[in-house]
Amino acid sequence: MNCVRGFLTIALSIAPNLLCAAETAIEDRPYDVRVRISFEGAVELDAPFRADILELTAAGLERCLGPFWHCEVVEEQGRVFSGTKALSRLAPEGLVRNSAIEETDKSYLIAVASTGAGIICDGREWDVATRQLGPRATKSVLDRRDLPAALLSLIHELFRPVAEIDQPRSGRTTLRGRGANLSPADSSWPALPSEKLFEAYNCILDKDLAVERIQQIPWTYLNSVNDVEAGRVHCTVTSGLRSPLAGRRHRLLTLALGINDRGPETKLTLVTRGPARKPLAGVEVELAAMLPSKPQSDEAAHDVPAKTLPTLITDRNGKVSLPAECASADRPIWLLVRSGQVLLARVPYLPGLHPAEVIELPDDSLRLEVEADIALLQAKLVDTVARRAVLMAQAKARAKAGQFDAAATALRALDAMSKAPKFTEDLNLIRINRTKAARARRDKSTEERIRKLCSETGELVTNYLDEAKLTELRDEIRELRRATDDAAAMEAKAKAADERAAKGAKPKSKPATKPAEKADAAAAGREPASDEKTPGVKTDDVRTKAQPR
Amino acid sequence: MRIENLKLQIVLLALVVLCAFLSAAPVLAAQPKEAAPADETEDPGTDEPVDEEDEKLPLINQMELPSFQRLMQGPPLDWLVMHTGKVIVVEPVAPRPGTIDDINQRISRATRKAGDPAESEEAKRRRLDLYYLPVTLPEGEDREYRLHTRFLKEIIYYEDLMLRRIDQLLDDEKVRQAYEVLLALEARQESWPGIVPRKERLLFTEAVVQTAEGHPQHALALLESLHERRASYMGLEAQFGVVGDKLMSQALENNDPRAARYFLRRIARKYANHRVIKDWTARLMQDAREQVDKAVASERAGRIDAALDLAERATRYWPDLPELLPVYNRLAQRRQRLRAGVVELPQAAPQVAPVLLSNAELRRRQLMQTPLFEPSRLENKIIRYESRFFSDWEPTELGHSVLFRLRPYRLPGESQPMLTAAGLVWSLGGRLNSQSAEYDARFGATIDSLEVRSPFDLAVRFQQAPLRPEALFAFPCPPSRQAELPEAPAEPRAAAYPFQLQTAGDRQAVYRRSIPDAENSADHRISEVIEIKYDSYAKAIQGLLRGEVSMLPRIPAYTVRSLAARQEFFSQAYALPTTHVLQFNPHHKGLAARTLRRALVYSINRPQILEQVFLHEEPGPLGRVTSAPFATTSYAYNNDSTRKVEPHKFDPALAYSLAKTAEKELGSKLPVLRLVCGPEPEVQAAAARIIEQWKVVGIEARLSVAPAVGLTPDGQDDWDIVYRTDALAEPLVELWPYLALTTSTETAALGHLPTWLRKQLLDLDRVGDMNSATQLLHLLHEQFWAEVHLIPLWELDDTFVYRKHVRGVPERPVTPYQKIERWKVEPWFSREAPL
Repeated sequence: MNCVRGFLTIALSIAPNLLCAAETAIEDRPYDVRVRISFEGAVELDAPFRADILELTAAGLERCLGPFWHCEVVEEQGRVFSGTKALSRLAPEGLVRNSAIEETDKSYLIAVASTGAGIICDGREWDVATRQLGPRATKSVLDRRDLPAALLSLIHELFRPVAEIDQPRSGRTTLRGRGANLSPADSSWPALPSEKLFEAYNCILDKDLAVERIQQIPWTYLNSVNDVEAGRVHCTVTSGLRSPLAGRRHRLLTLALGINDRGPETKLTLVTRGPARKPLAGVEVELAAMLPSKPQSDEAAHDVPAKTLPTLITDRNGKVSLPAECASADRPIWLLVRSGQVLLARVPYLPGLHPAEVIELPDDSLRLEVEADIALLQAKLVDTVARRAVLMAQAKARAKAGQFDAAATALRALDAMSKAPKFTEDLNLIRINRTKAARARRDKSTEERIRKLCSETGELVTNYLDEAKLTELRDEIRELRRATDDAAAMEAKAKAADERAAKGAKPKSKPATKPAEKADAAAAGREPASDEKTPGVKTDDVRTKAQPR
Repeated sequence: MRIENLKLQIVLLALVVLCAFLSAAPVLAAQPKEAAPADETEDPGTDEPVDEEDEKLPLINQMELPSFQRLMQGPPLDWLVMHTGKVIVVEPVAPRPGTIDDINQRISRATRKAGDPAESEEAKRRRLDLYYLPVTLPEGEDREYRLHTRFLKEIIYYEDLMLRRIDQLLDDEKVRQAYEVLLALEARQESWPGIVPRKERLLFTEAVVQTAEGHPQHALALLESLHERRASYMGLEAQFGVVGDKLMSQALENNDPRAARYFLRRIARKYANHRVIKDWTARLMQDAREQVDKAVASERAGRIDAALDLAERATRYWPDLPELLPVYNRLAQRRQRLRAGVVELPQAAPQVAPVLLSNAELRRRQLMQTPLFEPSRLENKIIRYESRFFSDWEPTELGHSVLFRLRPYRLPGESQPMLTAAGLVWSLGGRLNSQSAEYDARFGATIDSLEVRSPFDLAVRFQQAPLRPEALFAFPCPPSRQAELPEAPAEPRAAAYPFQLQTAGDRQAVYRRSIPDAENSADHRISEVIEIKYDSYAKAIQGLLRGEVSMLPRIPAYTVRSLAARQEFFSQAYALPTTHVLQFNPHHKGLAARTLRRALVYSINRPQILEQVFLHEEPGPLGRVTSAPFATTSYAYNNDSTRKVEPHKFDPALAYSLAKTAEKELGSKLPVLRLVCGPEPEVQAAAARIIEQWKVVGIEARLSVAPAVGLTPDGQDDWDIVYRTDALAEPLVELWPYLALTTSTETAALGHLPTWLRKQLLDLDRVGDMNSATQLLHLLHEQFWAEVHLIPLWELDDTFVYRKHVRGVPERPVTPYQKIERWKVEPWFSREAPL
């Protein structure tokens, strides 16, 4: 009940602002800000001192920002947070429900604590429109008289500008900064600084134009480029989504929130989609400054140093640590999540922006199993093709040398080797079983990938274990043998004729040459000459053939 | 000139003969055979003709003995010495020796006796011819002459000249030349009189020379040989004494009294009552007695180690000393020392590289690290673990948690730190903390929580029930102040358990028990392990036979049968064979090509190398070719009859073809590969053979030796292929770091493997039942075969040998020093005569 009441209260509180927005352009609306300062160590920081600090801070803000902010500086009495340590524990859910900060656009929650000889100021920003709690920042002073200045500096550091995103149907995306037309007295507080990175949020409004729900547009960053006109800047959109920003729509407000500071790293967790949400262990996360396929279009390319970013591998819990220093100049880097040969995700991210992040990805285990099976099959295929090439070369060389028995042995060895149908059968077994499993999971993409993998391997089998080549070889050897036999027979005949001619008178009295003698003569004719080349493996042939890749 | 003179002299002699013939006195018939006188008297005159030309012949005392070179080169020439002292040099006469005696015998046989019938002219002429010795001059046109024996005083044969030269050379102590001349003489006339004494003299002289040159052992051998020939040789006994003194003095100088006893025994075999025997026996006994006295004094002073050192020394001096045995037994029982013979010693600084190639470093770790669980035996193809720390480890919640009960006591003889549950948690925390150097990613991913239930009860909850928690905890617990129970304040804390490396030198390394036995205990255990280095396994085996060492942690396979047959030793094969594997550097770009890896595997003739280098017999019971990095006796090995993974066959033609394909694939000539192996001699020999066989198929490789290797983060490694010899006790757990070539179990360590293979290995960590684990390991075995990420070569059933006085050695242990702190070494020293 409390939760519902909280939401209603917030909705009611924001509604007038939004209604106001309908009336006044966002560039002309100042920020409504409340600075809540909590003091610890009451002995040193007594009540008069605290009052002075509040007053001086308010005066400083007024002096620096003028009409840009409608600001109130109050002492925090424990309604929102109770001190330095509580700042770390703050959670957006708690703040959404807190009525003490609901009427403002931004709240600065600052804890001042005296430690030893100095004073430490810790603070965080709460942006009401996007319901985002900013990162923590700290300032320390040694002289208590410097505290107001330190607080001003801290608030300056914590400030995250808010802008509305204009996404025309054609043309470039534009940001309209809040209070951008109300230029602050101090120029170091620009309403919409250039070269600033923003996150994007969709605020879905209800029929009363109250914020019903706020949704961050995932994996999307906007980078302000330059001023177009007062209060507006062009920006470049970097997103892992196809169309991250919808055009103008009724009851949808698209806001951009500036990114100020980053932590040292982000723990990125890769899990499979629900309901299983199993951690994806051992998956490669390649970090890239820009997408390899994308041409370097804007000036960002010049800023990013051409350093090679590492390829990380998720641990057993599917986690990988993205160090903040990977992304230089506050520009998002690309995360390319690969599982084997397949790209599972390609998203931009600014490491360190959030301490933890989760990406849900499809379960690729089935396809990996197929990849493993295919690798095993391919290894056997490579061996078979290479061995086949060697044997074919041997058979051919021996046949040419007239060693037909040796050639026949090589041919027999070739016949004994695994043939293409055997490989195809194994491949089909892999394909059918895994496709069935993918179908049972209703995983169409995996099914398609399995089919593709298998068909590619099938092509290799067909190309490299072509039976026609073997048949050609057999024919060639047969031809060679016939030619050799014919030559031997001719030689034997000529010899017999010579003998007959030599014997003169009794050529016919001698019995005709017996078949056995013919065979002997043929055999004698087939004997290879001593200077014949030794048959060897033609490695070039083998090399070109033994590549099923 | 000399020959010319000689011819002239012979011509003159012929004239003299002519004169004699005219005066009917046939004195000399030294003339060409064609010009032989038609008739000669039966009784040759005794007066020798004198001619001035004859005077030009050299006298015997002017003749110069032919030099060594002249004698060795030839031609052979004899000296005919006349009664006048003159010498005619002629080609060797026959028969020899005893030419003149032979002539005289023939003459006496042919001499006519009274009553003999009248002889014919022809018979008379033949008879008279017998008085002449046919001679051939070394040079000249007319070289063939006859010389009447009446003028001959003696013949100095060429062989005699050789003997004379030998004598002279031996006088000059030119033994080698003398030996050569003697050999040449033997080759000419084996049975020439005078050879045997010269041989004896040669042996003696050489012994003298060798003694003088500082080779008394050589001299002793020569003297022994001479003794075999003629024990009564003049001066032999005295020379034995000289050599014996020298040898035994040297042996004692080299601190090798056993050698002194050996020489003593050798000399005693020849001369049992030799002075040297008596003197040195007394001296050695006296030395031994002094050592024993000192040992007893040290023992009384409480210096047991020093006392044992002295007693051991005394055993080497004179083991048969009656008073030695009780002292030695008492001390050796108190401080038990195990001496192990090895061919490599650990380096002073421990190797930190993740892949150990040196067996010495492996042994050091076994002695200096105490894992929480350690493999103890092979049972039904599975390695069973045991723990010195836990009395019980009971799985609960269907295996999702285990309650470890720590032992609050040590068993007799144990030497490991005492752990409490809190201390253990502190230690395990290091493995769970990703910032710690001991971080174990797999352990961290498996453990959910640790809960200390009592000082000795630790409940571990797992994220997923591990199949074998023992294997997961099979790592050494780092000794830490927090992990241990406080010991007695007097005892300094050890840095390693159960043993510490005391000293590591060039020849030996000494490990001493970290927690010594109680002094007043009656049941003592091994307190020191001394590894003694030998240059080769042959020397190590010799050391074992002599009693210098009591154990050889590994012996070559070809010696197993002969040593197993000996009664004084136990020989045991380890529970797991050692698998020899070639593994590739994942940073090497060329070896990323599967075709090249397959070329490498097909070009190695594994059965041949295994047989020729390791087994010296057909592969079979002692060793066999394998197709997996784990043992063929393990459940992980795919022996399934339908899908059995056979080792790759040796096929050089296919290998050549694949190498050429790889070359084309890489787009350049194949790189020269760098193979690194451990310092074990056999391993080096096998690696060299492998390189030779690669060369045949066109793959060049170089060999280097290192005790350990690892991967550098920048990929600038100095090796491409490593020859490993390991035994994976539990492939389920050990396969990961084995393949990763690091100690890290992070997934990134296997980044070089394909994703599907990595996933299978990760699945292995999460597998929940033995059947699935076996199936997965079989599949991995098949995949390794196909992808050739490593080349399993062969496995050897390594055997270790120890003397029977070493007790408590487990049956078929997994590691060389398994449970060593519980072993006992009974007092024993070799009393066998050193021969």
